Amino acid sequence: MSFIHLHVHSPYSFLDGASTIDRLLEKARALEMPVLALTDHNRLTGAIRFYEKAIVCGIKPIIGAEVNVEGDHHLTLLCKDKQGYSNLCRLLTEAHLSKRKCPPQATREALRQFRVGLIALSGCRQGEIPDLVGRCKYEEAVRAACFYRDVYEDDFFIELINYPSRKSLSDSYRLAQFARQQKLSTVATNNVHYADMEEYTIKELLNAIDRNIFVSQLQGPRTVEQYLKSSEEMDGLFRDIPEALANTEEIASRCNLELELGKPRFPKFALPEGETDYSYLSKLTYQGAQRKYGSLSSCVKQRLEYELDTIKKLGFCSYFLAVWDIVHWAQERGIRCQARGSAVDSLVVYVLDISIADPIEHDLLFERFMHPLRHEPPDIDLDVDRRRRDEVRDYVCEKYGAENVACVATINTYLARGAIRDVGKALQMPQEIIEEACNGIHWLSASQLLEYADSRPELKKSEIYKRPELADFFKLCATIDSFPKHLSVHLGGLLIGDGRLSDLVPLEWSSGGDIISQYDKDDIEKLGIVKMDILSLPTMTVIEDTLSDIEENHGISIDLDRIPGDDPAAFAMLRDGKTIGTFQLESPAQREMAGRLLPERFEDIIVSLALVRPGPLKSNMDKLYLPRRHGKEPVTYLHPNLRDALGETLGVILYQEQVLEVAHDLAGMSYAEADGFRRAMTHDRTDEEMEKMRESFITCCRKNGVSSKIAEEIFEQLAAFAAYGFCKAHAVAYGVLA
Amino acid sequence: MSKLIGEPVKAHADNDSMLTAFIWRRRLYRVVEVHSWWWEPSEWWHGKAVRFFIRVNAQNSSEGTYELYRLGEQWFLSRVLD
Repeated sequence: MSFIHLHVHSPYSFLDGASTIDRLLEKARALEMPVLALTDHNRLTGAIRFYEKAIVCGIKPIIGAEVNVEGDHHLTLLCKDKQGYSNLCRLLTEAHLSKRKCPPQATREALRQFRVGLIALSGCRQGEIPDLVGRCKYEEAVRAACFYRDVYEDDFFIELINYPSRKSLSDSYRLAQFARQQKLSTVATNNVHYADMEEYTIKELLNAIDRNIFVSQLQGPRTVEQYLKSSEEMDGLFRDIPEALANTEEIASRCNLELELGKPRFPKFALPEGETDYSYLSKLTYQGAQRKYGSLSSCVKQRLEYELDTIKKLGFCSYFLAVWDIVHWAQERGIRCQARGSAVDSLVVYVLDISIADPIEHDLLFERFMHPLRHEPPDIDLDVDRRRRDEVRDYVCEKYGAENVACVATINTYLARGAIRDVGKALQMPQEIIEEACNGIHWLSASQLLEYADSRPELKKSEIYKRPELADFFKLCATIDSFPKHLSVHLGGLLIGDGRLSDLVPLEWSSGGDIISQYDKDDIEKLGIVKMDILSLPTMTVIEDTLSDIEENHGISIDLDRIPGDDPAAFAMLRDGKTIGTFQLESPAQREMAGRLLPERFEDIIVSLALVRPGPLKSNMDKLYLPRRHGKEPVTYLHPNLRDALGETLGVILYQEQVLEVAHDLAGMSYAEADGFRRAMTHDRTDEEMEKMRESFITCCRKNGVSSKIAEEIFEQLAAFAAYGFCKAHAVAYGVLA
Repeated sequence: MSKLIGEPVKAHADNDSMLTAFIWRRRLYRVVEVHSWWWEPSEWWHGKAVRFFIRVNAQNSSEGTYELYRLGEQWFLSRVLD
């Protein structure tokens, strides 16, 4: 018989679980456990990544949560199926949203309302029945048992947890006796909070941080037993209650949730009669194209057909319509609103007036934005006048229904500074040590701190990271690297569901009073829910104010679309560094670059935006590009076939779109494959994966007559560039705005 | 009732590391029954390690109940129970 752990906490229990999901799964696999549940406190924040990773490990995942119920009691709930998952999401949402600024609490009515598809275990020591039995309040315990049995019927189990201790009779024996008297089924769990026994210290440390006390002040019984025990260990603990062990398998066999990940769930767009989403999108696209271009050239027609066809094939028509509708609504009310990022690569986006940059004029590549091999929902980020962003958000809520819209959450996690401060405080470290250790470190994790203590200039100057008496302290800090601390609102991210969001995503209050998802943007994407970034951009407000001031004071109405992009006086100002107040070009680094680049055309602004960033400057891209730009060094190409891709930047790779073009022109990849190649190089990958990409790239290049040596050199350039490459479409959008 | 002792003892274990006998104050106690065992958390923030406890019935001139713990390789008699 194989024991199944049905009550397991991860760091997504927020300052209670002490082992990462990877670590828990690794241990479960080492123990040859076929199934594992995840039951974090009141949240499903870790559920999607747990579900995916467990499947990869060959372990069947069970999704659940330990929910706080009336009376500050705990109840362990497990999803049997999709309806159970949906009910758990709704129950958690109800528990969180019913009262603001209060800890979540599910009412008995809510438990009854959202019971279908869920299995309930009576919970840990804080469960209602264990608590009452522990305090010998048998009559109340019987009443509570009647309620839970009535709600969950055969899917209710008394949870037995047996931590060996000095006490001769464990609580679980009394609880088992109670279950027998009440004819209730029992199940053994270990209320797991860490993978291995020694990690109990991390749990205690996190608990102290959570309660803002010193570790030495932690109250209540302490234990080292909440680790992922083997079947043999659990068998030993429950030898006298074999049915409690057998029921773990029985419960696992009842839980068969299959999440539909990757399936887009776009909101239904209300279409005019007789139209499909595709026909209506086409109609609006061609109307927009005629407004922009007058008669359509074959190049424009072909591009529009290709883009519309791709959008249709991927099933994203209603998404484009939804974005168009929001932008259209905003613009009709004089609210400045336009796309940024890779969406600007699309001609459809441009002719729908979602973006202000013409991708034909600026030679932008649609495939960087979307292509047939990329099935993730497209991402159109909108910049909106800061003062009026809430109006746009309110419109979205009104249009799709408040129940169907929420803000996306960001999971705030530990980096070195936070870890040093919190761990230091819990361990009563002297304040001066904490301050010295935090001094000058930004955006580093505690593990990086130790790794780079001898190599990074900002760390080398302090001896503190090398002091032997502090080694254990820094190790503890590194242990909680990237552990989640709390949820907050993602900047601008709005979710729009194709129905009630809480059927699919648990929702809660943010500290600022917004309703946020319990999942972050990556998990939202996996669930296929539309996320729209509607971001406040102060520049939009400045432009709006400036235009109205000019009109009011000088009686001149300015149409931004008619401002020439090649005004010599404007470029003279840029060259003189007179750019204070100019969007994106006012920083000292940009002004310094203007003095070296001496911009005289719009393309120079795009180059400047792409160049003045830490990556390209550290890699001396400016020193390669600028002499070529001023004719002081010849423009050379590693291979003649790079001329098309890199001609506009004089043989230097500056934009992400150029990676696609190089892979297309030299290795013969389709643009879609080339984007996959770019993304693979950009994201975290193993040395082995990188080696495979290198081999494949070189083989493809050789087939096209490029020598191995040249192909190798070009691959190295692409790989180095991938770390800091800039999206040309974004640079163009911001260049136009500047 | 129990009497706290806290003295080091010399322990003998079988092949499964289970305690079979211990010598306390120069007298040999043979373990006749193991009642229970458990681990106890420590003040880890002061560098202390978890302790493994075992409660046994052991026989010298008469049989009694004893609680011992192991810290690293060293065993200690924690308490004698009446």
